[in-house]
Amino acid sequence: MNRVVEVSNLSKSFGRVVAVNQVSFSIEAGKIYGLLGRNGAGKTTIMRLITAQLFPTSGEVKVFGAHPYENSRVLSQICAVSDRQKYPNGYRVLDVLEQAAFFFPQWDQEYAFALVEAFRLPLSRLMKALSRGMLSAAGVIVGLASRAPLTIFDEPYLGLDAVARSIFYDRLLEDYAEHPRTVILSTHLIDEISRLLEHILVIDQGRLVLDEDAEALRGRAFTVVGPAARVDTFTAGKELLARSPLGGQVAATIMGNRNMEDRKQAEALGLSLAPVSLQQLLVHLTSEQSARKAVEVR
Amino acid sequence: MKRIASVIVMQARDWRTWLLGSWIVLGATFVICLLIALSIDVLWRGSIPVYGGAVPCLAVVMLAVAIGTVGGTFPFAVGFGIRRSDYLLGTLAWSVAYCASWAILLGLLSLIEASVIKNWGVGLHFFHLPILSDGSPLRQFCWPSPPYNLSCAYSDPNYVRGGSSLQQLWVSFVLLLFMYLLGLLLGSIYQRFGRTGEFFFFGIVFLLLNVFVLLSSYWQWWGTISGWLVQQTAAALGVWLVPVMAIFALASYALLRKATV
Repeated sequence: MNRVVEVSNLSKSFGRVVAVNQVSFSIEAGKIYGLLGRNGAGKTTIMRLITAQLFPTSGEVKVFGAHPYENSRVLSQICAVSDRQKYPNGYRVLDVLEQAAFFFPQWDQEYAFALVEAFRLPLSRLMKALSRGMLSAAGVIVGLASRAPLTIFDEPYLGLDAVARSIFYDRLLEDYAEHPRTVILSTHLIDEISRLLEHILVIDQGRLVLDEDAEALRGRAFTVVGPAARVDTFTAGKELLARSPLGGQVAATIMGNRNMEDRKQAEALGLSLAPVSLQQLLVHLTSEQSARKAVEVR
Repeated sequence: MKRIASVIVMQARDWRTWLLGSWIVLGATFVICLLIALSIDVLWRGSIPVYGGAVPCLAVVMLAVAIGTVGGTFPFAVGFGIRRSDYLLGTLAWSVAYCASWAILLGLLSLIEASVIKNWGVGLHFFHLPILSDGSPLRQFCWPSPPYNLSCAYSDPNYVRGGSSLQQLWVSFVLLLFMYLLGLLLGSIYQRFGRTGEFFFFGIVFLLLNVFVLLSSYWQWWGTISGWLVQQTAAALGVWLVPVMAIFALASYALLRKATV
């Protein structure tokens, strides 16, 4: 198995604050990973540790089989786009794209300009004069056109409108199909990107609480929709994750795999079954973890 | 090597930062000096020469540009996968080229001032300065009583001639580069330790200077020090700056190696 990133017992503290706590995981080549978690969970810190922008307090990071720090072979294969990315004061959008061609060996300038058109980015505008959304769009363009074997998008869509976000998702999938590479998407907006993800890592309070294949994860729960009384009949005796009324209807999320028996029962009751919302499932799983941790602490 | 070259290109591409600022400051200073010289020329019929300084003015600009350079380009480069050592080597190469270009340009302007449009027609000494050429820069302290007592300046022929063009070039170059590297060092301290680091650095420098002044006064070193300095030409003093610049560069490297973005 070709491992692009290997993180073992990684910790990072800022003074007394432990931002990343004993995290271990590995990332395989040619997949889209989601690094999910709430704000301040430690996602960005992990990204910065992987790209050697920060130094770990303890533990180890290996990227393409080697330590990334001061390693040109490794660093030239990574493109990490973050909303924290700074640009030189006098740079315009065009300057960033032309400079990126020098930084990223696989850079595709033509593709970058096509993306500029798609995102309607003003090429001659200074980076510091761009709006929040345009700045994010510029970062997304660099990330996509870099064609870096490991491309990391850390909260790439802050300020991007719905149209731009959907352009980003579509272009990412298209380009990923044509030029397979490893992508890590870090975000707290889970539902929007859940269809893109093949593997999910969830970080909560600096700890890795989930490391699972997205399909397997989706199979761990399902949603049932229908009139309240019938849904309640269906959910009786099952582990109920969430229950939300929708007008006269109720949507209930239930833990467990959708088996034949469930399907038959639902059909008999006139209920429809649907895949679970990843966000809902993750909220449940992470709050469960936190509760368990709280009990352990007590 | 390719990565270092990409850093040089990155620095050159940020011309709005390094070019506009220096031209605006230098141009404004020149125009102000020209106006002063012109008014003196009109009022006193050109009996008083006016001295301004292109090189010291530009040296201050270099310091400011270099401080801003680290903050502006280091996080950009490291964020996009450039090694810290490649960043520093590329930036050093860039600073040498940048300061050398300015030195050549100042040399040309100095030539124009000395030979083509003599003192811009109004008795202004701006680019062609005797103190920064082969004469001893410390002799400028003979000037506090112009216009009637310039005897000590004129007594040194190098003073008026301004030394050889090559020496002038060297002095401009080394002074500009010295200030640029000092700026890089200050920028690197900020990048590594933030405002607190800057505060401690200046605190320590201030403390060391005070100790030095105290000791020099106590042991009566001043005579020896000024005696030595007066004997040095500007070009020779420039050579003494080289090891100091090397220390600045090494210190910047040590700081940036551990700097985060």
